[in-house]
Amino acid sequence: MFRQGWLQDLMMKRPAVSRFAVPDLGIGVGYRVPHYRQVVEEQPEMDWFEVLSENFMVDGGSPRHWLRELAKRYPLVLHGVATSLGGEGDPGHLRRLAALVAEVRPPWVSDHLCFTGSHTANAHDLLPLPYTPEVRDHVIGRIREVSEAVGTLYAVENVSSYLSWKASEVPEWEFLTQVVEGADCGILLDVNNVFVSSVNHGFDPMEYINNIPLDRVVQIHLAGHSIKDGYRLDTHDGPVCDEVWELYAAVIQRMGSVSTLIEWDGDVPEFSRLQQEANQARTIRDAALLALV
Amino acid sequence: MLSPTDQIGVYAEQYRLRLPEAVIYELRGLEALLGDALPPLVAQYLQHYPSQTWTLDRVADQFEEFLASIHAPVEQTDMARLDIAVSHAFTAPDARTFDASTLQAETQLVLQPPVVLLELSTSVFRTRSAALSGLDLPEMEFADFRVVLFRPERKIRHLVLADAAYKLLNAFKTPTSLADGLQTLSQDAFTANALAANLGDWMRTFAKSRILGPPA
Ligand SMILES: [Fe+2]
Repeated sequence: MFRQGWLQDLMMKRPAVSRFAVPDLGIGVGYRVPHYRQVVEEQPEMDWFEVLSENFMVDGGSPRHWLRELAKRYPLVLHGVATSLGGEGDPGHLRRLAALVAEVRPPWVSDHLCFTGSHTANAHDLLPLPYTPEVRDHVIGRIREVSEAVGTLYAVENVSSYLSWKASEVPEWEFLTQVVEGADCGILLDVNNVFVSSVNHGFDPMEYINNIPLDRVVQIHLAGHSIKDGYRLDTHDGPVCDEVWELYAAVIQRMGSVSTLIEWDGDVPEFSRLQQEANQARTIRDAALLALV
Repeated sequence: MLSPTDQIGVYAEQYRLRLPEAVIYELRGLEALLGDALPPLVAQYLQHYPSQTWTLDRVADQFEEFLASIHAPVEQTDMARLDIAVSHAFTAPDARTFDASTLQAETQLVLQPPVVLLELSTSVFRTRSAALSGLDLPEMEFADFRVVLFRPERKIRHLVLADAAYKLLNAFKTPTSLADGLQTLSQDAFTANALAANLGDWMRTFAKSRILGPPA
């Protein structure tokens, strides 16, 4: 009997492509409320978990309890939704994030390449940025500020988008590249978001993948989305679709194995269904690694 | 490809779906009380109080103020206050413990972080408990109620207090020695008599329930 992950270990004898000394955590899933107790009490098989930072940026009570218990049992990474790298930044948010990072000590922390509101109003959404030099420089400054405050490797994630700004001067992949190189940070590459945006904006997703610095990718997101009238909506409420699996395989073939996470946030199924989806990712990753030899 | 208006429309639609859901999630007692009458109120609320905070936990915090501004019935404003108090208590810093048998006159005590004192004019706390337990809603009683919310571990609980017990807890809003706390209550003969008869029991309950405890 081979132990789980043997193929990955074999493949990883190749020199790591990442410029950052971060571990490949394997295949994980998001830690979501319906599974808090079950995961802690039954310790089901799962390589690692991603937790939504903001859900745990509270003083005490139930959320902190379950986070402490999870951290005793599994590797975990913090992923935020409210830093608003394109916005002005909220000192209260940053203080709480830094305190959480100090307690959890994840190998990296991430949030999205977007803004979440304007002036004092918060849209609680991941709004796409205009891809201009002014915005790029602002975001680079914000990433530096946040990285310094949290004191650990920072990664930015590409978002799904439904609109583009007339003011944009470069395609998204070029903007992402300029930002991460300027800020010297990592990328959380959401393969589903690349696909969703490619359909919504009419670009080739492989052009995106081939034109970003894959040696900065520290983590991948995979998720399901919905097909709407005239566009794709990033809903995280179902299985990963075939096109996204293909794109994932193409990324792995280009960069080798990297920490991969399944996001499933709406209509959250039984944990065993998440394990199946993680196993599917493992199978596709291993096949892609084999094709690479 | 979507037109620019439709592109903006996707975000507008998502906002209209997400925000009311987040507000209602924080108002579970009010949802039980109002049923289908709540969503239109929430839509109106969000027009006047767009979210200004990064956390969805706090999006409903001005709901009592909003209800008061539209002259909503007192059981609705009471319930909104109770819902929001529960939400704050749920993630407040954990309570500390003390051993009631070691109490001395000079022992410093303070209300613990998850504790909220509420003065209500209706029995909304009974309605809320019944609704969350899936029971039929009891008839609303209109009277003055002194209620303390507390969180001994992770679950929120409440007690309805005698007037003197409520006054006793109010004396420990900031760190205060037992002697000083009691001193402030001794002027009023009725309260003093109630304390004389019940202090031991009450302090044991407050200690066991982590309502009172040592300062941080
Ligand atoms: Fe993602």
